[in-house]
Amino acid sequence: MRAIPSAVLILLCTCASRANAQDARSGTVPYHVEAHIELGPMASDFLRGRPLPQGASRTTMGYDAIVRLMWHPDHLLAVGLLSGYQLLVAENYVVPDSLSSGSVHASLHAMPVMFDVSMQVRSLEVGVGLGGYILTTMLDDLTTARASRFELGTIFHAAYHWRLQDHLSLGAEALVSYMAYRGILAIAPQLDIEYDLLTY
Amino acid sequence: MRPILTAFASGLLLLWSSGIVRAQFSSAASQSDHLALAKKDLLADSSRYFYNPRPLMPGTAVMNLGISLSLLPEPLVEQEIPAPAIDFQYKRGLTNSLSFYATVSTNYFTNVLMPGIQYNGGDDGLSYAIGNGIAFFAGYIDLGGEFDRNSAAAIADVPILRVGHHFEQVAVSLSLACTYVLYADTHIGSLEDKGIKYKVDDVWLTLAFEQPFYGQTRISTGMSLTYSRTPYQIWMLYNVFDQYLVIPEFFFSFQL
Amino acid sequence: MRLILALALGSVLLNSGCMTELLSADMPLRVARPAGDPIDSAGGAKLAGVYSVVQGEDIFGSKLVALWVRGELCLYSGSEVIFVETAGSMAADTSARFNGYYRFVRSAMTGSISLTILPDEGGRSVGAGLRNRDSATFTIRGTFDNPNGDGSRDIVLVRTRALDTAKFYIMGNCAGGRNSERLGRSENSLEMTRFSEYLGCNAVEVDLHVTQDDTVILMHDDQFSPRTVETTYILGDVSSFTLRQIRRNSRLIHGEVLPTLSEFLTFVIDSTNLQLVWLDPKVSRGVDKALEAQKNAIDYARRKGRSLRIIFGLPSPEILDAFRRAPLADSVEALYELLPENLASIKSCRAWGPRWTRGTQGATVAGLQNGPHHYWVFPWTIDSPDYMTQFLNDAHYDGILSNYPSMLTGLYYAR
Repeated sequence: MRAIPSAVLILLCTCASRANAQDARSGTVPYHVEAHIELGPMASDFLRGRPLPQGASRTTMGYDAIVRLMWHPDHLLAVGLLSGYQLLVAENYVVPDSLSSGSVHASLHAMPVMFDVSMQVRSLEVGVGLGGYILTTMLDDLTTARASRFELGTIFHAAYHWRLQDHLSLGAEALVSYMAYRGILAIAPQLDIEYDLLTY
Repeated sequence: MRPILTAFASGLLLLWSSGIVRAQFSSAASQSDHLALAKKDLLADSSRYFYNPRPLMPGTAVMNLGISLSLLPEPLVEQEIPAPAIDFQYKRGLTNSLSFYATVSTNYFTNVLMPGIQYNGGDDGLSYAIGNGIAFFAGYIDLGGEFDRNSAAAIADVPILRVGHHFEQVAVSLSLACTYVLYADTHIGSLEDKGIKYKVDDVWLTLAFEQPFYGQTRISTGMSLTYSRTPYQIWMLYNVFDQYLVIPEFFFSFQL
Repeated sequence: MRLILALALGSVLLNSGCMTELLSADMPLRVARPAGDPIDSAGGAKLAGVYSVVQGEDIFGSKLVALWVRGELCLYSGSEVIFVETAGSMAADTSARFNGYYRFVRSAMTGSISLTILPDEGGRSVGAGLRNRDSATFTIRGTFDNPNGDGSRDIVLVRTRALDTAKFYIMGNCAGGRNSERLGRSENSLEMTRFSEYLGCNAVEVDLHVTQDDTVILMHDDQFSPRTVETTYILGDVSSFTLRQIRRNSRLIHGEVLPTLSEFLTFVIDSTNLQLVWLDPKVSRGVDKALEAQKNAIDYARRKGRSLRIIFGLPSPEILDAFRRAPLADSVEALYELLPENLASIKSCRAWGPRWTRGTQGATVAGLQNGPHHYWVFPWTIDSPDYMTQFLNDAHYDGILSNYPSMLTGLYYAR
């Protein structure tokens, strides 16, 4: 369960060590405001299993779309806000009991709301988001229920970017999403479109 | 203890990685030039950091103002609750080896003042400090319900050990401290509980990173892990669990 | 740059899951009795009393309280907050033998314990049951796993007196204990209600919420969360889901089915010897439904000849308003939790429930108990042995609500 976050930590340490060998940007380096739009499929693992629905697999497939707005001053760090939408699981299943033999349709969604910090060295960006998720459930079992709840969580992300134009670059990103209270770990390979909104 | 060991391991990993970096830089300049430059810059540059234990130039001071966020133990508060506080930190060089430090932490309900003295040693790379502070704690909350005229006061001795490494762009330091309670008193309405006395209540480990953020503005960031039987952050809740818990705290402060 | 590392490290540690969790308690859900003939209730009940701890005092304290609960011998150490559950049999030599476990309730430390009452030290009297009404001096000898190391330790208990028979309600919070007490049963469940008697309870408090389809259920929190239920899709406000949706898509954290108030009250009447139930509504919606279930249960208990009081808690002005508007408000008994000056304005109010942080309030308590309405007074929720002792000594309450009813049992009877 802790292997993946530990691996991410080691990756960050390694990147940071290598980045440290680079001279920091001088005071003449401009400041940037950067927007990131990221999309990709997402695999989720319910680390404590899924006792219900009966027989459900603990791993599920969904997708995510993340938006980050980052302020990147004249050193290596950038800070900003991260949000978006994640589909953790959507499925139809039958509950074998006396109340009904009808099928249930249910889905679980998450909207991360986080403070994000990233380190940008040349084309590599490694970052972490701290905050929480607004988890939303949609449950259609005879009648439809919809409910939400905020829980703390984290996102790790690492990307490599190719510059397409002066203000536009395209990246390949790995995103790891962790909802600690609920024990859901999600991994998403993503396409990361970065655009420099403002340079000063 | 596993989280604390993990933090130690991570700190060692950072120090190890710094060795590679230093080796790369040492190839660019002769060893003697490097040392001479470092000696000259030592006192001036180190005055910029609070957590880093390099000696301060006598008469110089550093001040930080920021926030910290503790994640309260879920079994006690029955949900995920982060508790914020405002932190002010001050350090002043008394001699080439001694410095005075003081921290103030408050969120109105919970207030801690801790002045202390520390001995600093080491060079521009690796440095260390050993110090001792006296923590004065006072808390009062009267919001009705669970928090009905609750108050607490405590005095504790806080010995601290710091190890730091100054990189090109960042100073990393690891601090280990414990809280030895000299006096404690809790009042809940008209009821009184003397609490623990002459006992080590908690041990805490702090990993701090201090570096430039933008322009000449510097920041201190990091986290503390407190291993405690009665976490001070939840003094207003009566903790009935006879078990040590780990309370993580994140901090972020700007240098004034 | 290192900010990333700090945050990453923080995240890893924060998410490691083990940091703020309590240790789990290794205690069996059912105690197996040793080989031999079962001990009948009349014989077992003779063992109830206060015992002096002759050996093992450093672990269990100087006094232990023994109760005979539904065929099992349970021991309670108030000062040390230790609970012991054992099941017994009569051996061929007329000694009584018991096997079970002990549990440090606040730290989750557990271990095995074996007890014996030799024939000449009370075993023969236990085996004789009703045939022999002598008041033997019981000596209980045994061994228990050393909680501070390897091996086992000896324990010797000598019965010094019988239990105080005055009416006093030992009330378990959330039907006996919260999930954080790690008792192997979920809070506010039927299983916890059954177990509450072994913890020493003769009364329980349960929390009430209302589903989307107006069914009153047992639930403490306003929202479903991993603290209370295991599920993929049941999360957020309790009032967002119908009972059918909750039951088909979630379980309480120890696997039990979430009970309705009606099911709970029927269970209490049919399957326990509890004498009082305190209903604690968390929302003002559905008060009329809750009172209907309360009234039906009172009638059912009366028909069965079962002695049971059910009181409806009034913890806030909003719930009091809803209570006053409900058609059955005058047909049930209520407990008011706010200022005692308002008690007389609530016609069906039978009890006052002050928060313990307001102090022991001896004079106020005596005034209410001895006044024209003869109110009961139940302070809540006291979990510290020191404070509990103050409340037991400084005023004469009719009962106390606690998350540690086993501790209250030990302290109350050993006074």
